[in-house]
Amino acid sequence: MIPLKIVSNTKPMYNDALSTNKTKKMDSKPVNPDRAIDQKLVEKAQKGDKKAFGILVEKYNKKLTRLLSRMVRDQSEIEDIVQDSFIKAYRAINNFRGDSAFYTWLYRIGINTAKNHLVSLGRRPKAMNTVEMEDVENFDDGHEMRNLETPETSMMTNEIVVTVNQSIELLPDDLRQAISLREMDGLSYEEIADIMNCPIGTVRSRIFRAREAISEKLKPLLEKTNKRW
Amino acid sequence: MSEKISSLFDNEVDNYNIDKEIGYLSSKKSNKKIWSSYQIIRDVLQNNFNVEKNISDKIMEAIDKEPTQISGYIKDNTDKNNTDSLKHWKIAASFGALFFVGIASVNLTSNYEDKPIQLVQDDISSEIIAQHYANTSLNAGHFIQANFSRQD
Repeated sequence: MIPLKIVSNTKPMYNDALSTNKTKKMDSKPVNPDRAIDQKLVEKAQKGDKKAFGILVEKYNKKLTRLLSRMVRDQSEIEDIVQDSFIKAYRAINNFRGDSAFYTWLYRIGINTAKNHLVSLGRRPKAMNTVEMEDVENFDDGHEMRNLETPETSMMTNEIVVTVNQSIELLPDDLRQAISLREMDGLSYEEIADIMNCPIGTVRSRIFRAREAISEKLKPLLEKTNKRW
Repeated sequence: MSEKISSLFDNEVDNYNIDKEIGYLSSKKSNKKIWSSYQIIRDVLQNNFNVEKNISDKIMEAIDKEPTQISGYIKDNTDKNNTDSLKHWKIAASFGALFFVGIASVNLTSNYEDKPIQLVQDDISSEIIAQHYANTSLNAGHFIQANFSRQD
């Protein structure tokens, strides 16, 4: 009998469970992007592959935006600072030696860019002691962005959250369990394979199929959201 | 192929295939959308999602205007290795050339010493000899062009 650790049919569970899942996540393998992949992307960018740098932008622009929103409150200012930070990072990409994670390096650039921006406007930079450098990679910061929400974005956020949760409820049990163990418990494919008593290849396929099914439901919503922005 | 993106997204790709998978991911713009969609699903499931303006396209437009960064840390290392190996080849080639020139000159000298000068014509008139010395420079080309012929 496969133990169902997380899966539930109640919608709010996926979000409310986070308070408990966050503690679980500390014990299991973190879902945060692996340094090895980032390092490969950096190496490709250093060799002139801008598309590889584009993946790093895709991966980290929102995370950086959320972190910088602790220092700067104006959304358009944050966007400019994030863009400047990525440009600075790209210009200095050849200086990145992999001593720290790419994101930590990018974060430092972002902080300095934000500080310079605030100083240039005659404002005092807000201290960021609450987020230490070593915690940056594992920093969950969704609540920070909520301060920047408008009624419209709040409505869109709710629509997407409801759609994802409903799509998960409609998944077959094996797909639902696989994606939940991965995304909510942060387990590796090997650990999931042990729990579900199936080969790693099957786990890989189940997680992929679950994502595809949810993405399909999300597609029209995301297109609508992109048009609005 | 999206299964590979899904695995890459989970960092569940072995080192041997990372390059290939990253290459595939960066090859198409649609792959980035897939990645972005997976990120939204993750954020929602981790209670970390808010609709935010996706500024990655705007950032990449700005990056595209930047000069391409090449010859970085890794390239530098590679270049240094290449330069070092080229330097060794240059030295080896110089020694090789010197060796061949040495051998050739030794052969030339020994050939010159071993073989006695043979006159193709014994009874050269003093007139010809005088004319010869008058027009002869000390270079070998002159002798080649002297066009002595055997008279039987």
